Amino acid sequence: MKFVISHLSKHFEKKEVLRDIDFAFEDGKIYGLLGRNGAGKTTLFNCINGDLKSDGGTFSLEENGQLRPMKSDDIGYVLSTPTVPEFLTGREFLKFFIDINRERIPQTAEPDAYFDYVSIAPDDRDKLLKDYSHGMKNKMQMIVNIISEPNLLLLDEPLTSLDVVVAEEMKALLRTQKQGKIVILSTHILDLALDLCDEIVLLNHGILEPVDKSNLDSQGFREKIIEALREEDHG
Amino acid sequence: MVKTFRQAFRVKCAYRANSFLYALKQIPILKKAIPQEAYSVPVLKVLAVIAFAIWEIGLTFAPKAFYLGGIVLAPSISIADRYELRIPAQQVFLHILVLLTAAGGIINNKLLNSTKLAHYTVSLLRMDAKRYTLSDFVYQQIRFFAGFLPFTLLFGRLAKVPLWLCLLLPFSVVGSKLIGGAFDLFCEKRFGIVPEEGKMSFASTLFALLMLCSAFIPPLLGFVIPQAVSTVVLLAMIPLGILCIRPVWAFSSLGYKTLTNRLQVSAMNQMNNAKANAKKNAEKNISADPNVTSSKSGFEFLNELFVKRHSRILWSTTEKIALIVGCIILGILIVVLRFPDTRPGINAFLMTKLPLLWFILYALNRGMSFTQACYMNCDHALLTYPFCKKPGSILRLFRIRLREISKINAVPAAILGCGAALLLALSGGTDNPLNYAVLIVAPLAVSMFFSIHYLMLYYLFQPYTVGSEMRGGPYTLISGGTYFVCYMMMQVKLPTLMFGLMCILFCVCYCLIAYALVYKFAPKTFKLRS
Repeated sequence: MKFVISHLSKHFEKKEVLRDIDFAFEDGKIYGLLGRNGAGKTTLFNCINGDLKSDGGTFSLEENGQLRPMKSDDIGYVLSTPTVPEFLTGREFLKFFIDINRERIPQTAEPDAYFDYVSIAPDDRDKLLKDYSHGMKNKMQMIVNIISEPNLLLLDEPLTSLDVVVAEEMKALLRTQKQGKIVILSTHILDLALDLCDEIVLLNHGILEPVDKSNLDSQGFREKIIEALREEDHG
Repeated sequence: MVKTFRQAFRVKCAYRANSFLYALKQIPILKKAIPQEAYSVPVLKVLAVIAFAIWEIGLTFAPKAFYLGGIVLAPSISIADRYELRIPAQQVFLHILVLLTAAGGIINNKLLNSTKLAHYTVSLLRMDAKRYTLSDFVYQQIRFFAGFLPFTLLFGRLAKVPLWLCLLLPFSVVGSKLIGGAFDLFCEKRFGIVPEEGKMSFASTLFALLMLCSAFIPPLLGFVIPQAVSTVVLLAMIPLGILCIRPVWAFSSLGYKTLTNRLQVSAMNQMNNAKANAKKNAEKNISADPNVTSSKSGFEFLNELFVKRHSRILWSTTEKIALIVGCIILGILIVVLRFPDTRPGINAFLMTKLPLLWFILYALNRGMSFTQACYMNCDHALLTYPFCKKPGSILRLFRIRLREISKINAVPAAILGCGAALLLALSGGTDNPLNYAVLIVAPLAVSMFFSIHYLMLYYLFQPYTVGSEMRGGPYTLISGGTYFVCYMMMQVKLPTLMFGLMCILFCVCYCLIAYALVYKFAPKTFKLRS
């Protein structure tokens, strides 16, 4: 399976943020989308998720050699600031989610199994989501994406504001989720991208560029990425 | 100090000019016409500075004209007329002016202020706090003087205040500002409290309210400060003000810096909190009652929990409103039964004043609170999940919410309608029984209108940003228009039967059209705004 972006462009007034992007992402891999502040990472995700209208271009999924347009069910999106309906408890949110997706996802486990999976303590499961910490809200978003099994999982700066324990738990969780999916993770933290991602893609001058790791050790790869990002200054 | 003022004024010009261009760019029609580089185009900058200058001059004179003409002179003449000139207009004029000037000296002396500009100049550009504060204070006093002089002359003379006093009044105003400024500094030095912060702000507001009440209520009752006393107090403000120059001037540079910083921190906190507060306040409305549950499933489950956990702003409020409406109707019923001579008046009122219904139900409906809670506590999250962005899901939830808000709004409307019909019957009745039906059905129809109206606006113009700020131009415009139309309805004079039937017909048509519009457009328009 491949997620294919064709001729994607987006501009704000005269500033071209995304320039005729053509790129294909493969399943079974975590892609680290690296770019400097303001490079357009969130804009790219918002365009893919349909929250922002792109100026042109298409998003397709290639399955068994056949291209088809993306559907909303194909996409899971974990925002950097997790948003959950505050008036529900964690358990109620899961029940609601499972209820309305029952036809599409007939095989679901009990809510407690999911809570266990993401390490949300039994005492917290029946608390209102407004009382959840940032990390717990993030985990709730992850559960929803684990249950719905989207073909494409977008994560916008997912670990930036999590404590070290939750960040490690989330990393482990993400590694288990990549099978059969395309996971794209945007970040500006190079160490995180190198630690977690199978491929590094730079958003450079509005264009996606893969960084070839072949024949490079870890330090060499790091320097190559920084050099490529620095070039933006002179672009 | 002149140099500091010139520098600060330059910053102010740049700040205002950029703010002006930014504001223009927010207007949809002009958004595309004004280029991104507008901030660096000299011609546009000059135009913006000219606009700022006009604005500054306008603000120097217009509020003073309104204040002295509308707030001081008009009541003075009206009260003098009321007492058939036994109390002369100039005496009332000076009574109001002396008390309001005292209030103005305390709450609006312009010495210490927490404007963004003060933050930019003192905190960011590191200008000397004392020089900046005093130069700006002098500038503001010149504006006060210049703004007041033409209108103390014009309106003072119209109130027959002696010419020499009219000429001196602007000095009194400036004197009051100096006294107020010195008082602020004294409070800080002696008690460590700063204006615009917590208790001091409360005390100042209380003082101002006291002065405001004393300015208007006693004259209405015929008690006015003797003209000689107000004149002496106003004139005394001039030498007292001059005496206050010294403490204002002598206050240390470090003291001004500390005060400016403290006010900035307080103001910045308030600004930053404003965004968070909207969200926090919305969350406060969520009930944490552990007994709230639902046996339903899917969107009905979501809705039932939403309504139960927001009962504080939905059902509890509507029950209270219904109770108040019921009590008022009961009170009128007792009056009608006890005092038969009131019956013809009430009967005539009910037969001709149905247009009032629009304004009453506008005030009572819960539509805006409901949609706000829907966004803040629910939709801002659900709209990030693909399963909730599907057209089917959006419309399903719309139908459920319409049903819910219609029920909530219908309760006070039903009590109002039934009460009105009962009052009509007991106050002499009517020849045409259709009037009773109209009095009962019209409030329900209008309540249904408000239910679907606000929900439709929410679904078609979703006005909130991801950060929970309200930024919807069309939404705000139509909401304001709704208030205006309901207000204007009070002026309509039509028989109840005709107006009621027209209302019912209009509401039915509006509901059908609104429903169709939501079905056609909401799947595209109901989304998060960045």
